[in-house]
Amino acid sequence: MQVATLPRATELAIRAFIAAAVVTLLLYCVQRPLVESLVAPLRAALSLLDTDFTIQAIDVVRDVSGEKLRLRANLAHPIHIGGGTLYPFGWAGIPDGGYQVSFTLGGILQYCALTLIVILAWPAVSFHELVMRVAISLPLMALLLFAQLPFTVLAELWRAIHQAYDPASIPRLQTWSRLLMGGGGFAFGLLFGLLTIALTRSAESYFRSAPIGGAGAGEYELVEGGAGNAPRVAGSGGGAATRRSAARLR
Amino acid sequence: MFVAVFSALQLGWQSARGTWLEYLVIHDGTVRPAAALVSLLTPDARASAVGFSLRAPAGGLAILNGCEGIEVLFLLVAAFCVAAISWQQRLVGLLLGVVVVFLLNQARVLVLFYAYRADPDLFDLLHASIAPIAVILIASIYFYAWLAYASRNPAASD
Repeated sequence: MQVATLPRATELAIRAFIAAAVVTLLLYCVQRPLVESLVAPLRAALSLLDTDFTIQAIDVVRDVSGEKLRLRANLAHPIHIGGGTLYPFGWAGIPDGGYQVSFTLGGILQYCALTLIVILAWPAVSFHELVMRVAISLPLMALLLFAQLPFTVLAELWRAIHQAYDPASIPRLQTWSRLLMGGGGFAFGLLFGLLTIALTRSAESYFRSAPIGGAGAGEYELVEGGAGNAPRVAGSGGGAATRRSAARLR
Repeated sequence: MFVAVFSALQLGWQSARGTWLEYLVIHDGTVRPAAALVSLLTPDARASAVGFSLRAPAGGLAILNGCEGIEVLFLLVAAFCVAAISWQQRLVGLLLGVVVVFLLNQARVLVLFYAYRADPDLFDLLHASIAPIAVILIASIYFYAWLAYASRNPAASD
């Protein structure tokens, strides 16, 4: 049976470098369709998390600084802020407009990229384990994206409003957003990578040690018969055979 | 405890925005050394540290949130706080870690500075994806290497 041991730091560094190169190249090639596939779930998540905004448009655009996910939103109804009332754009004669937030595609995917790098860089005992890691990491990466993207969008929208109308107050979700962008997102990426590795190892150990067919563990008792009689076997299940004298049966 | 230490450091740093501490870390601790390095490597670039910006005639950088490397440092501090090693090893590892993070961040700033001047598309790729991940990975590997070193050389007492 192959036993996984902790890798040396230099080996881990080389593996991490290779994994990082592979993942970065892969994401660079697929980042646009990947982020575009997130548009519908993002719109749904935003509608669920905050009813103060109405989403006007979410799209992936290219500008002078590269490809970005651009989101345009407007207030869904008037809100009270800074001692006054802020009305949505286009409300009762107010000109049309909205708030715009944009994110680089790489920035959206970077925490998941780190998770992927960790699970690919850490040595695996078999290719099967590596495949299992990727499969197990998918819901964790989805959770990471959900914790990051819609909350950061809302935090930025509220920050824009607070900066303009109530700069003294802390906008909603600002703390969570800053925590994520200030290293917390990377910490989660690393943690989810390590968690995936641990879960995969547990799953592999479980499937390797499961009993093959038959009854559960137990003990056979070999009973010696009398002269000329073949020994009889009492009990059931697998396990060690123990020899008992026939006298114990009487 | 990791979460508590990291959150406390992060929230403390957020509240230090606009103060002398932020100026010290970003201008004196990040921008000025980077400007000095650029002047050493490419004197023709005529780079100078102006506030939170590394300015040069053909293009410079603004060191904004996250580009000062402080978040990686906070992660390292939190990790060392929970590491099962002796206090001496913890302290030495952390001090070395500060140096490692400083050097990593200076390397990041320099790479981004030259990339921006050479190819804006390359800058976008480096800035958004490669540089942040590279810094956190190298810092993580440093931490792992230190833990491995500490386990091979256990201290006599805590």
